[in-house]
Amino acid sequence: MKIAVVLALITLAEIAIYYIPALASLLIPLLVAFSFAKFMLVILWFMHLRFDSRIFTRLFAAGLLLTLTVFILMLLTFFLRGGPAPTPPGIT
Amino acid sequence: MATAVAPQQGGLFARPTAKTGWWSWMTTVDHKKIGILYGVTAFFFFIVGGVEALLIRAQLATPNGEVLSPAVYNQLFTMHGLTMIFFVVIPMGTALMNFLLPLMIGARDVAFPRLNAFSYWVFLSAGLFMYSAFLLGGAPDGGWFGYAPLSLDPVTDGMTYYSLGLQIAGIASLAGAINFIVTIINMRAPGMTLMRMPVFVWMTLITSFLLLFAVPVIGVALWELMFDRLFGANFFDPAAGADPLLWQHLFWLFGHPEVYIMILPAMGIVSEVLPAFSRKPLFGYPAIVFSGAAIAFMGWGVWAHHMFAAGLGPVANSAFALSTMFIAVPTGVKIFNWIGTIWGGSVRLTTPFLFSAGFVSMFIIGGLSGVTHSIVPHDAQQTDTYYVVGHLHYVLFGGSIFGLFSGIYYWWPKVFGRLLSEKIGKFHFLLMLVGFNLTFMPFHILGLLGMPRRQYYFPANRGFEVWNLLASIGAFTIAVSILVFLYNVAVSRKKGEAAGADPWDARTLEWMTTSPPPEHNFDAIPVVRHRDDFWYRKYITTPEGESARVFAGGAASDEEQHSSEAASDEPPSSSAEGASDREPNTAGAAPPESSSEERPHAGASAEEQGHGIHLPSPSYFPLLTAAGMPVIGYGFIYSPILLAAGAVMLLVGAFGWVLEPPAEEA
Amino acid sequence: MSAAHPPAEHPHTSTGLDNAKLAMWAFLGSECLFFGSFISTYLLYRNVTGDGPTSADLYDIPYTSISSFVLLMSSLTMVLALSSVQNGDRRAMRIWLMATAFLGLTFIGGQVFEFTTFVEEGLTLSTSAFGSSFFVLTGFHGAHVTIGILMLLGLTVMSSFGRLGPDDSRPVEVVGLYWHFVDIVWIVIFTVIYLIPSG
Ligand code: HEM
Ligand SMILES: [Cu+2]
Repeated sequence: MKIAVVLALITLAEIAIYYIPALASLLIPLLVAFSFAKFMLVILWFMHLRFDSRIFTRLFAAGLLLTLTVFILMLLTFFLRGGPAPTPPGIT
Repeated sequence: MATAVAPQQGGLFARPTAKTGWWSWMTTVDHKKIGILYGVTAFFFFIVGGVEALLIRAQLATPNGEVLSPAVYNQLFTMHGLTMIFFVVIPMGTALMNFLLPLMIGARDVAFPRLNAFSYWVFLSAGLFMYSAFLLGGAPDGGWFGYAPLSLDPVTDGMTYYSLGLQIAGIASLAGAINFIVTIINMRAPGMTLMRMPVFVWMTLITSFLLLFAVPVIGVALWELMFDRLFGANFFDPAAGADPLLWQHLFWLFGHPEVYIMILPAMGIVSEVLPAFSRKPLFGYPAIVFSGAAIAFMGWGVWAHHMFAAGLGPVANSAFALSTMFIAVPTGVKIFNWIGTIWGGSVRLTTPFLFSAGFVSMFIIGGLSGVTHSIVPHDAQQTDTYYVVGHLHYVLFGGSIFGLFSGIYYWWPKVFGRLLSEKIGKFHFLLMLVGFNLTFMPFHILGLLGMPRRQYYFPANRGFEVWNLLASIGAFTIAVSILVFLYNVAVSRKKGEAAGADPWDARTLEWMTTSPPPEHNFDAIPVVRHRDDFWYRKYITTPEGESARVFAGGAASDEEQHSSEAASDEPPSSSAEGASDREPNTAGAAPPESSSEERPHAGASAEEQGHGIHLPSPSYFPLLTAAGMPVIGYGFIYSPILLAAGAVMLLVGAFGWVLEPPAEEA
Repeated sequence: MSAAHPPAEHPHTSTGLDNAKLAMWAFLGSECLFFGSFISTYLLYRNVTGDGPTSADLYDIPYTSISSFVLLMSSLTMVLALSSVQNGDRRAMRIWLMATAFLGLTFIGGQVFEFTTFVEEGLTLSTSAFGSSFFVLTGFHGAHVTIGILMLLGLTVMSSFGRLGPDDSRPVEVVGLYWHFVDIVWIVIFTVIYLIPSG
């Protein structure tokens, strides 16, 4: 129950900072941090990874970390050369 | 169990009971029968894919060949590749895994027997679905990797079949992978710790993890392709500002792990066969296991080496070139392990051994040509030429297929109870080895001479004639060798020598039970004390370090080991305790003496055809649920009515699955 | 589920862990890559809007916040359903399961409404790469929620026909894992797709 209240509060905070101009520069890091916090609360308590066997945690973490690594790499290869489908020189 | 009233056998959801005949195969949930189904089906597709290859080689035997039209040629090479990869090598590995995995870890079945049957039927329907495209306007023709925007070409529905058919095949692989992972983690016999598992089981586990994580990626790519083709989405169409490179990334993100999915099972087979025929334990077991895991892990960081020619830029190219060179290291480690296993052993040159040796030597060649691709400027010369086709056949045919044949010869007596002929087998091997090299060695030369792949003809007077002709002769030699194998099978079925439980004097648990094994696998679940446990039941090590045969009747502890059952109704150890242990099973390996007495069905009663051992009953629903998938596929292409019908089949199947009277399935 | 051979219901496994739960966690690991692929596609294309509307033109943050909140709260009701069944209260469990399914349906309703609005404002699957990746990503998430709702209703019905013993909380737990996972995927989607401004 307490967890649910915290989750609700974080969501409120997320929306709030979205509308506070003073925080604009911090917006993205803050949002990511909040979202990460919610994510962890749900998997650790609601999905009780905190109390359950570590095998479950490992299985899930393997998928999650692999996803992060591989797709960050992939997006890097795109954005290092200017995003999707940059027009090659000489072709229009 | 309180008020819950389970319906007994009978009524609407009665489970089928046939033990023989057609229905028994259609409704079976026995991992051994499913393994045989997988094997027979994969072999059937092997013949089909082989005929396609022969047609291609007939067309390319001479310059300006006129056997095939360009359109048919495109369909044939695409379907050949798809067939061999998705409907032969992978399911043939799955066939062996299915049959052997529970036997090797001392289990009665896999964790989810009905899911296992479901995997098979989904796989079969994916294959039939893909092939039905030939009759319905044209098969896939955009190459097995289906590059966009060519794959968006709307001339035929071929690539729509590709997107849906592979999606269905992926569901089969995913279900199988989850099943095997749970089985290996959770269903091992007492004492079977992770580091005592046969290497084939390890490779199954690693392969399953690769599938678990790779299939969803291509799944997404295929969905996107389907939305592009059928619903006007713009994922890959450059005309709409999309970037076709996205397809290449997603495809090879799956595609490179996929090549390890195809080779690791073969590596597992070889790691079982070589020790058995060298009468030595595998040299460097931990190194083999860890290098297998390292290959699987690193295999996720090299995918863009298939895209060196796509213009990723120097930074990405260099990074992926480096990672590709590094991945050859764990592969090399394994080669040394295998050589170390044979070294100084008393080698028996049986057919399975020969195929394994063939695997190691051909795979070395394929691995080396792979390393030449990893050098970017070199690769720029090789991409899209026959050189790449040479490489991939050395690893896939010389590697996977030779390894799989080694496994087929090795385990055939276990599966069918009769030996294959050694004489015919050796002839098969020799013919296949010669034919294989005759076919694929020239590919390298053709590639270096500049012959592009996927061209329906080649012009005269470019120096291509000789090599193409040689390759075509080699291809037909391979075909003959497969006929020799089929002859061997026929002879063995008719008058093959009875195998007995342990024809090879082998090392792992599956040889402890009869050939073919009874439905319940083991009368009493073995308790495992060693790696290569079965060997140590037969031999003791003398103080001089030699192996000596244990006298009839077995070692002192043998009796107890045989009569002790799985600790199945011991109070489960608290999960937290079991789980935090890296090798959780050691806890469960209680001394058998303590528990063997109160086993209800140990000893004599168990021998009466496993009385008292509950096996899951057969079921109609995996088949029904699986059959819904291709119907949904046709529905996407042709009509919403079919779509709805398929969805109904799926739902009814799923509900029946849940509601049918319970069996031993966990 | 069966009174015939109770010991078989909880077979001893090598790790002492439940097979179905292990399978579900493996599946969820796999699902990470599934949604990862779709989210990456979206990130790649979020500014490829062609002549069509951009995300800034379309997204209605207060509206989506409410539906996100609804989904988040459905995770809470799911937790309550599981703890009811673990306390042996099947009736309460059914009520919480229905509440969860209802919240899920509300979310889906909200998504249908959102999709209709976007189409009216000129964004369809074929407008642009942005449109394709938005609809297909959120659509597949919606499909996952729908399957979850079906499973929740299935559990409720089975339980009221006595097919789900009060001491058998495993199916509820496993479905719950799936449900929470779908929720955390939405947490990511909400932040990455809706809140972080593109440009
Ligand atoms: C030492 C290990 C290996 C290395 C360094 C390696 C490297 C490469 C590279 C760089 C390519 C891209 C060539 C190009 O398209 O220009 C390639 C293609 C390919 N490799 Fe390997 N490889 C290795 C092992 C394997 C294994 C074990 C398999 C399968 C069992 C395999 C199957 C393939 C296939 C199917 C292709 C061709 C894909 C296509 O273009 O259709 N490789 N390899
Ligand atoms: Cu590769």
